[in-house]
Amino acid sequence: MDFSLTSRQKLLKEAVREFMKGECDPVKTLELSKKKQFPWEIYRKAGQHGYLASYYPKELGGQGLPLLDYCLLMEEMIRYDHRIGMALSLGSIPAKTLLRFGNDEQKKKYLPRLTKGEAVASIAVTEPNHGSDIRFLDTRAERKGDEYILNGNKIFITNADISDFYTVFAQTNPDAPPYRGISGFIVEREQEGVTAIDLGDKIGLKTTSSCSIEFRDVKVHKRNLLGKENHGFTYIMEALNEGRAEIANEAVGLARGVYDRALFHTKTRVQFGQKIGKFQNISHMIVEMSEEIESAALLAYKAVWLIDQGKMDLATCLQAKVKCTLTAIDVSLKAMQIYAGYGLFEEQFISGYLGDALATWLLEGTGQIQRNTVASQILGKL
Amino acid sequence: MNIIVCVKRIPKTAEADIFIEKDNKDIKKDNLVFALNDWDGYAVREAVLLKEKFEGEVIVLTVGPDESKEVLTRCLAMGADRAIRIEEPIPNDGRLIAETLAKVIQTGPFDLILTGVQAEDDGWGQVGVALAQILGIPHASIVTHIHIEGGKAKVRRELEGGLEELLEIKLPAVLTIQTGINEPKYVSLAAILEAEDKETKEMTLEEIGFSPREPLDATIDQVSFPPTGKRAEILKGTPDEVVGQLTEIIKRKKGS
Repeated sequence: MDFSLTSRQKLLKEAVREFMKGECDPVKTLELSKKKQFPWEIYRKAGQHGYLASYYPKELGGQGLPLLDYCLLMEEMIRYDHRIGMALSLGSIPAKTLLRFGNDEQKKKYLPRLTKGEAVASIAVTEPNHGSDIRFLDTRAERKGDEYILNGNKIFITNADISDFYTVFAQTNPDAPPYRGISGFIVEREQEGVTAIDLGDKIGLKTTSSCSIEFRDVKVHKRNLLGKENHGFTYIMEALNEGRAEIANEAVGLARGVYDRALFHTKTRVQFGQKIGKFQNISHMIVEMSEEIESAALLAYKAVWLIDQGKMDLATCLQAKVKCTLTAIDVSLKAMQIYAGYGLFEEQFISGYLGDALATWLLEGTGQIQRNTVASQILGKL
Repeated sequence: MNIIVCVKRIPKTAEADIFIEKDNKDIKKDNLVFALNDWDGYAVREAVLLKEKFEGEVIVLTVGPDESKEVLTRCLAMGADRAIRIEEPIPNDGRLIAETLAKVIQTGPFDLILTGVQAEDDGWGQVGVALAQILGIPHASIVTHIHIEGGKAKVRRELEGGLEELLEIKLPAVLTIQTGINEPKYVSLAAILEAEDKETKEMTLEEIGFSPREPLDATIDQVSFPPTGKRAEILKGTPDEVVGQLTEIIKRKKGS
């Protein structure tokens, strides 16, 4: 078992860190965060340098990297500046259902703009009455000739007010048994009948918006159907599981970023005439943070490594997501204690990392729901 | 125009905690991050910019262990065409490094050799200058600008006190490059992947026909931290008063 990074992985991390160092001015990124603005300028530049969705195949503008290499790169971005790193990674994750289950024509039309940093995508599954429970959806897509007529409302949709397109999931067969009547569609934001509204201020993910979308008699041509009709739930699950492994790695980036800052503070802040790291409770907190991060990272890397081997393991993806997001939250809370009063101020980054860590617990399914699934795998039928 | 750039893999020490080995001859390097020497990065970039203007080939050359391949790949990703690594622990003797490099350089044609002004780890600043001496060609150090015209290079050198010197130097020559000579460029992901396919030749001292002489010109007796000096002076008063005091101190130090 070789745990060392390859030469390529080290170079990728070094290159992306230089990029972040050159592009991310903390004063400017804080301003973006306060104004709730997506970092378009850095996003475009990252696309030009091939850093966005670089695991996409070359014909879609990606670099054909293994998912693990891409996740290490993303981890490094988030570690350096979560406000930018999270936005950069969330630009393309939502397009996973299209990447995995779209046909060539659909993929070539929509995905290269994501890798180039020219557009972001959203996935629209969650509804006001369907968060964890998506056995049925209230959004309806009714077939009329060559078109589907889409009606309904979605909520908590990342970047929906700036995305080029959404992959929308809707009920195509209202009479089907649970999970069996949902289909996926590609819908462009500018289509008639689509209204996306930013839902307001959040405590995390401040450089990406969270929106509601209303679909009112939106006409979607059948060529924009994702895969097969009524197979949508399977697509969501497959893509989401991969996405969860990615989010686990995002959380590792958050944990490492906040840990770096806490460690620096521990080694420089003086109280009672000595560096605060000399106090055992502080030094133990630092060690606990390091223990948590290293063990969480191993699980996160394993989850994406399995995907690269073509052996995606549902329980590993879910456990990685739960473990890593909890780690990011715990490490951020410890960093807040180490920074004490300073930690409350957004200038110090700490509260921002905490906000994003809390959000990763919720992204692509709450940790509790994910534990339910893992429990059923471990315990079987009781 | 064929340009050879000599580079070194160094431990990054600027932001790290440094500990000294028990024998007091070196620092502990186990937990340090290694990377391309900063000055060398500017030299590689400058070589690539010159190649863009005058065509030809950029070859990066290093002496070092297997791990040094990483910095060579990085240089290839920055636009160098091929790389050569001489398999040998980096000696603690600038002239010996220069002699080793010269053995390889002498085997092929070249118009220009670039090195960094110095290495971040030892700061000797010897290799480029010694290399020119061994090869019997002219050199200029601490170069901040290069203009090539008709077999000559017009170079600007950085001097103390904000002065600059403009030199005309016959090619082939060795130039040691100062940081800031060019604008660094991010390395794209595609370039890193392409670099993996470029040629990296590995050679031993035996293969280049070189046997280092003993004893070395220089050996390190001791590495230590400087003794703690006088403590910093803390200025007291209101912000306006502190600014006033600080301005006075700066004026005094500047001698005006």
